[in-house]
Amino acid sequence: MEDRRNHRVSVVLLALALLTLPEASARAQSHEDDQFDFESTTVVDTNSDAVIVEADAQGTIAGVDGSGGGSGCWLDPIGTIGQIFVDSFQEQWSNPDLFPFLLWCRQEMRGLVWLDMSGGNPVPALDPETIAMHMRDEIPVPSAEIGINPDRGLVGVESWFWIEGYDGSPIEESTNALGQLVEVEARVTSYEWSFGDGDTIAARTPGRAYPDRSDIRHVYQRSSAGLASGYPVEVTFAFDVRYRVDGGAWIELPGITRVAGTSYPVRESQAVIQQ
Amino acid sequence: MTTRGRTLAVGGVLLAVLAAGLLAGFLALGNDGGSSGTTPTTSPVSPSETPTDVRAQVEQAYLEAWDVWADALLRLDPSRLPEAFTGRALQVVTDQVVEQRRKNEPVQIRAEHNYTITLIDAQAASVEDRYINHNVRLDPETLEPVEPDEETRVRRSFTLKLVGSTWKIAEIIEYQ
Repeated sequence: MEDRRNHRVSVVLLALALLTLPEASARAQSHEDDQFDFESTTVVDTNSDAVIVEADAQGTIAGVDGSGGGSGCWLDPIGTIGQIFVDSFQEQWSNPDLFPFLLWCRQEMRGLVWLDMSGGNPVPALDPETIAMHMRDEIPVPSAEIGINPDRGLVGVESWFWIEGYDGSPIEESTNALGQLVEVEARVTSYEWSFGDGDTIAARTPGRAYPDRSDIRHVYQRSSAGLASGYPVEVTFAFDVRYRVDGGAWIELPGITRVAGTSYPVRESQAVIQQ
Repeated sequence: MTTRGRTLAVGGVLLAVLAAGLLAGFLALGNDGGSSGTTPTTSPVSPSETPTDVRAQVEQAYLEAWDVWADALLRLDPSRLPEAFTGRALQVVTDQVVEQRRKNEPVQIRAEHNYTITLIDAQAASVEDRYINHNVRLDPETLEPVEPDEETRVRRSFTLKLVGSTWKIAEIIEYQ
């Protein structure tokens, strides 16, 4: 069986194109003369030189630096028959050219796909690192927001900043792909703050929420007058990412960044002298 | 793959299939023994008992999903689709029925099925169907076909997932 797996399927997936459902609908409408049939949620294109899986990419994080933009789908060769329960002799199993794959998109098993390998391996190998890279691109960073005190800044007065919704804990993802456990871990290493007035600082903590005095502090020298919503404040999370296979040694991957932002109005107080 | 490799591979597969088949035979007592189904057509949904055998449950759910889909496209009413579809598949078929309703174009669904069922785990099953598509669009007034039956041969894999106690089509995988 091991021999079968090695020879048969250096498999899997080449392209991970995104197909949004509206696009699928548009495609359907462009073929109105075709015989009416089910619309598909996933298309496995076996006519090209390499197998392409097109799937809608629910959960794909938009606007993320370092994201490959892929749908995070791959075909996992079924190396042993015990992985799935075959009711009895099947047409597919009796055909030596057909080989089964589980279709995975992100963490979700989408289904069983049978590929005809009679013309040779139609797809390049997908190694654990490639899987890990897809997981890295889609890793679910908790939604984070910027907290500021006071709510409206004052020129010359210290403002305190912190991150809400994410405490900086490592983010872990894992999947059973290609018969192996692939684990990916992302650790935030720095928070790059941009206060919108040209000043920036780098911090190693997410700051502390009010009423504590945060270590992320800034004093504005000018009001945000002229800026519709105030100063654009941003914090960029820089993550180191690594992966391992079957509990082995950790291997570094290129890092990723995530950005959270908000607007911060700052006004200037006028001293009034009363007699 | 080398000839030797392929021979070994095929031999391994056959041995494994034999083992799995025997196991299946034991586990699926009461089953008719075959997982391939050839069903000539779809028909309106009728109440039916739920079989105790998992494979039979999947098969029944799959065929009933076709019936629900057919009924929705004939009446241009998507309201019953959630009974048989879930997730992305539900979204796709609902969009499809809504679009046909917008065009006031009912469709008669009929297929000659030739499917195999594979239980992936306790919550998921796959039905690979190589069916002959006899679907035709209908005149909304007379419900007579407005196009010929092209009898297209289609290959699709349907993933069914167990939602509560009901198997529903969750994914529709198309081969091109």
